[in-house]
Amino acid sequence: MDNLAKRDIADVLPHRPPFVFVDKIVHAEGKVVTTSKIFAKDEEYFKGHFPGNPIVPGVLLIESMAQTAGIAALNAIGEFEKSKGEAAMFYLSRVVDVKFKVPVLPDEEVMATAEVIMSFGNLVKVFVKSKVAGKIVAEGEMILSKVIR
Amino acid sequence: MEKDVEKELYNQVKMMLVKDLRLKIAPEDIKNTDLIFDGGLGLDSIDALELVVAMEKRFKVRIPDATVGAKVLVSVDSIVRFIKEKQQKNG
Repeated sequence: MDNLAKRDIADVLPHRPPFVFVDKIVHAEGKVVTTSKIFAKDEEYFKGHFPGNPIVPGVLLIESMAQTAGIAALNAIGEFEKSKGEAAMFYLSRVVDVKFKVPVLPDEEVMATAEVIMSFGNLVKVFVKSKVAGKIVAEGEMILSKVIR
Repeated sequence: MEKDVEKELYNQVKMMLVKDLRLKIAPEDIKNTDLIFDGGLGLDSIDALELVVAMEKRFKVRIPDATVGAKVLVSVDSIVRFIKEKQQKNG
């Protein structure tokens, strides 16, 4: 399963620039996937969020967590191996109790770990934790809906 | 005695619906026959997953798939029936 880490993100996720918020898959095993993402300091949005005090917008951290959750969901259901990432994808259906504990700064490496807790029908519940230098910066639950594309 | 145990189970299921699915009504306002989905308590298919997780956590019973779920997640009555059956099987 760990060979997922060697694949190009574009082979795994349906997202494309400028809306890819996973740089690479660090680890993937069964229901647990860890990714990394660096929000580069020259990104346009840092000019406004906030002037002179750039921090990574929470919504982008959520998107990064959701994309990681999607990879974990694919990996957990084994669909990735079957479909090569082309047949199934996941839509974000619910975000539950996401907490932002520490602001994330430009150029920091954010490691998101997603673990599939339960799947039922076409729905998957995933717990995601994002860390910077080993410290939790955000965590919460997400529910994803599987769709065939 | 058995009646009391059953009444308590009904109360626990209603409490689970209100707390874990964040319903904006009091447990005692839920009727045993109220439909959980299809416009009854206003829950949707995403809540079904939350309900499956909550039942496993609170009552240690697992709904294995959506087919069983469609039969069990109908009303408080059907949920209580399922929990009782499972708990009797598990001794």
